[in-house]
Amino acid sequence: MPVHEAMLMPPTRRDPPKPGPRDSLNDESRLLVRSRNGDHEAFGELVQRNQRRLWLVCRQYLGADEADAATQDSFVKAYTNLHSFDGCSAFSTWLTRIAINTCLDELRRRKREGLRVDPGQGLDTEPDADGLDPLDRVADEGPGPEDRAMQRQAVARLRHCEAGLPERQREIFRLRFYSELELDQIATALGVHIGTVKTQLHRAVHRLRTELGDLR
Amino acid sequence: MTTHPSDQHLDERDLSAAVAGLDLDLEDAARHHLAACLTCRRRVDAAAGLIQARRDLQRTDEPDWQAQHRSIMARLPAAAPEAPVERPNEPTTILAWPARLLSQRSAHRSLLAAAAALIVAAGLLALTRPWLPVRAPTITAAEVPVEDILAEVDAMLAEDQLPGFEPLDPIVPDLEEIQAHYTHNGAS
Repeated sequence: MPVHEAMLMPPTRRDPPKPGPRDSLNDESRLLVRSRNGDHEAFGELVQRNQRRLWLVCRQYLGADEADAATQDSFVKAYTNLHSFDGCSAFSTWLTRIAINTCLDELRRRKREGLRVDPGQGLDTEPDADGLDPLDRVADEGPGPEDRAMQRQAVARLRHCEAGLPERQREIFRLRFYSELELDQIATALGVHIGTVKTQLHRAVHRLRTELGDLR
Repeated sequence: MTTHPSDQHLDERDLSAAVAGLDLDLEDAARHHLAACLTCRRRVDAAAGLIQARRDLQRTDEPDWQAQHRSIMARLPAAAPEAPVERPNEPTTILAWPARLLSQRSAHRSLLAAAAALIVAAGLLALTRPWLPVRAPTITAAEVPVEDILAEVDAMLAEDQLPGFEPLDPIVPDLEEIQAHYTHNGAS
């Protein structure tokens, strides 16, 4: 399978446990009705179905350290505001929008309090607690140390180039490739036309390919 | 996207579109070329592979999903996000009835107070309306003391000594005697 096709496949590694097939009561709309009536178990099912997606969204804005807390905040906000979900969009898209707003609020708070807001936020720019470069964890199955070193170098350059993208392009690029959102989901979550998403995504990729040069 | 002859390699913009997953927006000729051309596919795969490596890197720090799920559930407020659908025999229903009763009582009190105020206002208005004519009180037949009036009339008549009502003198002769008297005197 070509790599660019594999990119579009749903991830299979370390996914949260997915609910098995159950009776028809477990479809999303019924779960929503039960959740609105205070049924925590039903909402827990919705959490389980969406938590990885939301974490990946928060990860792009706040980084790994803060993504967990932001994900939890987003779900609690969603629960307390369930009555305002009108069903005009998919529930997962509504959740994504809440998560994005939660992250943007956090970034604004940091800015107000004079904390550093890095355009490369959400990226793996620092070594792990064990002192290892996170890039060492990638592509261990590669053909050899030379190739792995080249790939580490390429990923580091991609990371650097990403940080230099215009804010909107960087946001859409990350939501598409790292949060694995569909184009229409991005458009709805950001409140823009899908044509805008396509244009910004194309520009981001083209700019990255141009800057990466022979590494692309 | 630009018009593309199928025997030429894709230009950079079309390659970027393919990397971005927008290859469906390419022209048919470009898509056919991409499917057939190993060189172009390699260039697309190289960029896509780099992005994928970057994405895989982010997966290395995914949290413990079960622990995250437990934390979220523990943080949910106990109350329903909005008023739950009322069902009989539910603890919430049983606990809620005193509040509803209090609410109903206060509503009743308000209504009673409003009615009382209305009555008082109407009374005051009636007392202070000088423009209306004063009407004699209407008395029903049941309220007339007929017996008392008749008794009073009888008493008055008993005391009244009108001459026209005096009884005739018993020594006065009757009508035939009077007629005979006048006949003898030659008056008729």
